[in-house]
Amino acid sequence: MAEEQQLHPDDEQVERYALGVLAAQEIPMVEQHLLICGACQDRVEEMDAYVQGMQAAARQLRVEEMAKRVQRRPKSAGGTRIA
Amino acid sequence: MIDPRGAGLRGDTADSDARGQTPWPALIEKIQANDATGMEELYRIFSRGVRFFLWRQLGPQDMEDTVHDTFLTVAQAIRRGDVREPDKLMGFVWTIVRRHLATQIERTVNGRNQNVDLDGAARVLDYSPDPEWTAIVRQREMLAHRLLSEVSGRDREILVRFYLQEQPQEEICREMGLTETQFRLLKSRAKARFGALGRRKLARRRICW
Repeated sequence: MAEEQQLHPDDEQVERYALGVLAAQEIPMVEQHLLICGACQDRVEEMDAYVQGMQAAARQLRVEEMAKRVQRRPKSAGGTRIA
Repeated sequence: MIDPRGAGLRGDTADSDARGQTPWPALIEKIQANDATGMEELYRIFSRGVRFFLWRQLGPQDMEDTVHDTFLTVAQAIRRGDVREPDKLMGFVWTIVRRHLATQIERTVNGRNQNVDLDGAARVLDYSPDPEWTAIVRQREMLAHRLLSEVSGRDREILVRFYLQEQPQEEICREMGLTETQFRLLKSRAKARFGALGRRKLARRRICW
């Protein structure tokens, strides 16, 4: 029990937890630790913010790239873009 | 897992006795004896963590009610003698929290007429319009967008594969010709840059005030 309390998850575990890909067998130990460790709660919240920001930004960049590709398509003789 | 003595981190919520162990048996005895300080201590140790999980999975909706229900359930179980191994109180509380979360998620999902596969990472956040929260989320997106715009095309591809496409690390390393160390270094730098951009933005705001 003391061991569960004192072992903080490492940065890779925190990232995997924030991404929702932490191994099932690791979740109980990490979550029980998070239940009582404010410092690690802060680490997870910080990682959540980063992951969510990156995901949203990556989606936005993809949209921008697609828009640029559409703009670069050559126009047909009638002035409309070729599909 | 890392040893906090090496990492310089310490749990700041649960107190420990001289042996480094939280006295769960003593706490359970207090609660079973209807000692008010026992409930206060239970709340002090676990309330931040319970709120952390509830907020993360459910958002602010019904937070206080669910926190209250969780502690009520734990206290009643302790008084009934359901905690057969006092040293495992933390695991017991965690189980109760998970059950309450699952119940709340099911209620929320049924209310929205959706089917959700419940796993440890499922989140059913309440996206009620909160201008401050919306601004915070937008800020994070802008910082991350700037970060992704600053890095090389190859680094951007790697980060997008990992964070957006959720491609496993091993696959990314194999397809992009990276070692595990190179991959971790890239992620670490990106996260550090995100943090630095955020702090710079905060510093600029303070100057403007």
